Amino acid sequence: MTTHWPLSSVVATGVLQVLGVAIGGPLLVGLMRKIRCRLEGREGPPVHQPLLDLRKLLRKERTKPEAASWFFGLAPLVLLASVTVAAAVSPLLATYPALGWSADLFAVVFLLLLGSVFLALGALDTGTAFGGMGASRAITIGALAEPALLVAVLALSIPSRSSNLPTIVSRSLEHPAWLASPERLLAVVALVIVIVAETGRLPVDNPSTHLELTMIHEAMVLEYAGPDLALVKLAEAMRLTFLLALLATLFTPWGIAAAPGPARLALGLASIAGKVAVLGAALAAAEVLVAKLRLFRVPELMAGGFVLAALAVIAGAVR
Amino acid sequence: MALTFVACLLGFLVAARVLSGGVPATFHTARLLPLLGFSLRLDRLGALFVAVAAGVGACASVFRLGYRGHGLASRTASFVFPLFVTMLLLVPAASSVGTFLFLWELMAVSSLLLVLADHRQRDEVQRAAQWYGVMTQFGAVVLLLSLVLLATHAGGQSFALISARGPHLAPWVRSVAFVLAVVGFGSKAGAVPLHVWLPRAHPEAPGPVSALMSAAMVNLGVYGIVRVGDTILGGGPPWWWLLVMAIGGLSAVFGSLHSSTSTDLKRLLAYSTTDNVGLIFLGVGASGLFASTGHHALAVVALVAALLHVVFHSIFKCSLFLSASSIQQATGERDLDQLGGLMTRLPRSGPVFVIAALTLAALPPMCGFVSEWLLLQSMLHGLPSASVPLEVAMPLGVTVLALAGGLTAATVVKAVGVGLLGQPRSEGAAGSAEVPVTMWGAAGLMALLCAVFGVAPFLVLPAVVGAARSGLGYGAAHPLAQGWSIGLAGGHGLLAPGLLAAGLVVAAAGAAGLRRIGQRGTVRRAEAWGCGRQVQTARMQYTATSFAEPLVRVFDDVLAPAHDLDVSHSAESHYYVESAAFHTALDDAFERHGYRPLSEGLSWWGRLARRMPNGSVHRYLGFGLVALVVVLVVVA
Amino acid sequence: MRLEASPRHADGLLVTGPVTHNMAVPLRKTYEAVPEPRVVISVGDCACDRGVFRGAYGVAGAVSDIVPVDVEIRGCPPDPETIISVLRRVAGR
Repeated sequence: MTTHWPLSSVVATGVLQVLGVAIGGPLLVGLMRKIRCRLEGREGPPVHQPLLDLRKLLRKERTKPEAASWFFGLAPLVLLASVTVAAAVSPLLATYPALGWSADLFAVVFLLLLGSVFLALGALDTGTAFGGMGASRAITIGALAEPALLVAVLALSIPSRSSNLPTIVSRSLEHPAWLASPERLLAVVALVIVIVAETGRLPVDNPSTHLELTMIHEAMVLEYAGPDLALVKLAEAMRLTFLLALLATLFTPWGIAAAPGPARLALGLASIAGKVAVLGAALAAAEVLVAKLRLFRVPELMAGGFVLAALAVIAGAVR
Repeated sequence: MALTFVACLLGFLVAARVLSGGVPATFHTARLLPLLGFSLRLDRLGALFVAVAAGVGACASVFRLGYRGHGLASRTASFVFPLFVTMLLLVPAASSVGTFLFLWELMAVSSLLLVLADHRQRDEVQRAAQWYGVMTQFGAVVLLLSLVLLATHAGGQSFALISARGPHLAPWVRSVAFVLAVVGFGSKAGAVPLHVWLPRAHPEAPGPVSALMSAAMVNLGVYGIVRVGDTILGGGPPWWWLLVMAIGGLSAVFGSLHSSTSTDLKRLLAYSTTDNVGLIFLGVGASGLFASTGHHALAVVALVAALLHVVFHSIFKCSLFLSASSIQQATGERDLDQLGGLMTRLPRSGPVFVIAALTLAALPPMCGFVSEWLLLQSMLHGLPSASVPLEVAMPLGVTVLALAGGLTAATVVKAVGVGLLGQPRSEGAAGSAEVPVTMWGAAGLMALLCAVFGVAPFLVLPAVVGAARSGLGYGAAHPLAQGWSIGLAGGHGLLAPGLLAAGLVVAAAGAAGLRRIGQRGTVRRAEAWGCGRQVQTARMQYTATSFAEPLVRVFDDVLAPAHDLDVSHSAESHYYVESAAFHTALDDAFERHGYRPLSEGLSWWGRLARRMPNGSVHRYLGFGLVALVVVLVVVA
Repeated sequence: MRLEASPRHADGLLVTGPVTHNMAVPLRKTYEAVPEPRVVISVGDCACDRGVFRGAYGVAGAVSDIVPVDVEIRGCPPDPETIISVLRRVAGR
């Protein structure tokens, strides 16, 4: 299985993938905002507005609360680094990702957890009540989403007998019948629930709320200003894009570059961009229709996701 | 202290030689224990545990130099401490039943004396020591039964003899001995439901003693099960290992749940020991299950994962306990609700604690991540399988690991965020100063190892693989380490933690660069945004109790928190409240439903027994007659 | 133009009404919480020069007495079109 691509291809793929997620992230957020606005009857800002916001934020002043230590400044760095590395090790554009075979699906899950933990710690470092509240809620939801996530990953790894992402994607390309099997479909739904929780979208969390007592993710970033805020927003957008791209690659892998070559890479880029745009649009449309769940209903949603993932494993085992 | 350090150094050297050479070191004398003989045989499995105990012991003894704990300076403690550490080093080397039980009892008694070290300063120490003593003795008695049963039926007491006769013993003997061994060793390891001594003894014991207990002593419970189950008895039917996995799973979930909702720093760490021991038991159980269903290669991998977690857990737990003691010494507080703002006040102990805590949460690039990853891989590759126990146990194992992992992440965020970050919540925290270099240095060395082994696990893997193979008695040539990455043969699972760490560092540097690009001037220190509030105090922050409150709510069936609201009304009118006090307490479900009724039953029995001798000679003569009749009936 | 939950995420403040004694300190704190470069827009006669509340016992001053004001929009109340055109000018559109 370990075919070797020329180093130049690997580097090109890696750079392209990371840049794609980094630039495509804010674009995706802009697209989702635009779709929401249009569905609500408004004109809405242009799709590239988040990129302009990032540029503006990078030039603003950096502030730090009096109670905070150096941890406060470290948290956005680790958050962005973790999602960047996760994007670099996953086969989004090509079946041979940049950092080679250095990480699998379990490692990606733990990398994202690293980012979440550091963000929560940064929030607690501010010494405010909102930081603690956001951290407490986010970590509780994250802890309850872990079983659903890992069991869904298990369900995805069983057919290909490996949790290595390139292997899963290549084997799925070879056996298209797997993609329509009940365990895949159940795992999709479970993963969608988990992704909604991990990225802080409705119905778990409203990313555009101003009411602090309803905030989960936003409460953690209330103290970040200027470049720190830019990094945090970029990391959020990259996380959403990365998770949607991963979902698309795992469940509809066609179009991904299976061999080196600029034409194939371009096709891979176009196909993943298209898939992510479609998924993002669907998510945005669903957000318009759904209301935010009460905070103490979210564990029930996570439990539901877990049940689906467990059913996926059972369905896979029964066959 | 010097004595301990020398003993540890010696132990480590011997263990390292055995691990690298593969030739077991033996020692036999008939003098120490007349009639039974005293024999030691250190093979690779035992050597791994000796090496770990030696490392932890050395760190703890260095830590003692700066530790101002009053109890440990006494003459008794100074004598018992080296004795305890030496016993920790010798128990894995015991190769006969008599030697093993002798050393085990010595270890248990010396640890009890060390737990009692502070008893003049605090009353709770005595109660904690009572619980610990009773449970330790219970475990020792059960172990005695198990090992003596094996020795009697095998016709000799040396481990080599028993393992040679092992396959020929009657199945009921093997099963009873194994179950008793699991109970006995499980109670020492702190597995549920025999874990209640852990959260009581650890907070009351002095810092270095807690570190030794959690990072070296509980390993011996694991060692015992692996030794009895795999080496001596040579594996068994699947239900044995399902039992071990069930105990492990329950411990992991229960331990992580309680550590995420506990507000006492050391109690939190004690429960997280139960959690990690549960994960190790999961690995050991999975290994045995694979072996009993014929997947021998996977059995080696699972055992390697479990033993790797033993090594890494010892490293980070030692660091955590030592830094928690540093924090306690610097601030005078153990309660997380009273800590905070320590990152700037303890510039060395703070980061050390953070690194060790991140390892506990199994986050890359630290070593805890590597061992949990390997455990997940071993469970994943058990599926799909034809055997039903595997099909059921492996997904449950992954679920347990996931839930425990998520709750442990919550624990870590709470411990670091509330304990170290933010503003100080009490005078003690506000006025704390850094501890002596021996204290943060010892903890820091272990934290450094966490990072080093996280990036380069291939430094430890060969030793661990050798130990696993020696424990199981077989092992295909499965190189788990391939250059910079670790993975299963055939590339079915691959991880390059070094590359991940490098990637993280590069990406973080890139992010820092991005942040610098448009930066205007320096960072402005501003008052935290509090919606324009005029006064903001440290009391407005989240405490550990409030942080864990959503989790307590979600799991309130299991935790059953007790809430107490005391409202006292003003004398003039019942409608005015003079003061209100709210108490909340979380106790252990096993204590509430298991131990308390048990101890109440026992004291009822004791009271009943006390009424029986009432001074009347006739009654005493009657007792004597009944006893004589019973003995005659039984003997005849 | 978007409303933000925290002044740290904002580029400017939109203030209406006169500043009462109780709100003087919060207004000052809000202004200081906004990172540079920041803009303060006072909307309405009451915000610009106390309007009908001139001389009232509860009023500490106009907005410009507490924080430096960059743009004033006069009127009691100001026209919606005026507000929008001034905001557009501030945003550079």
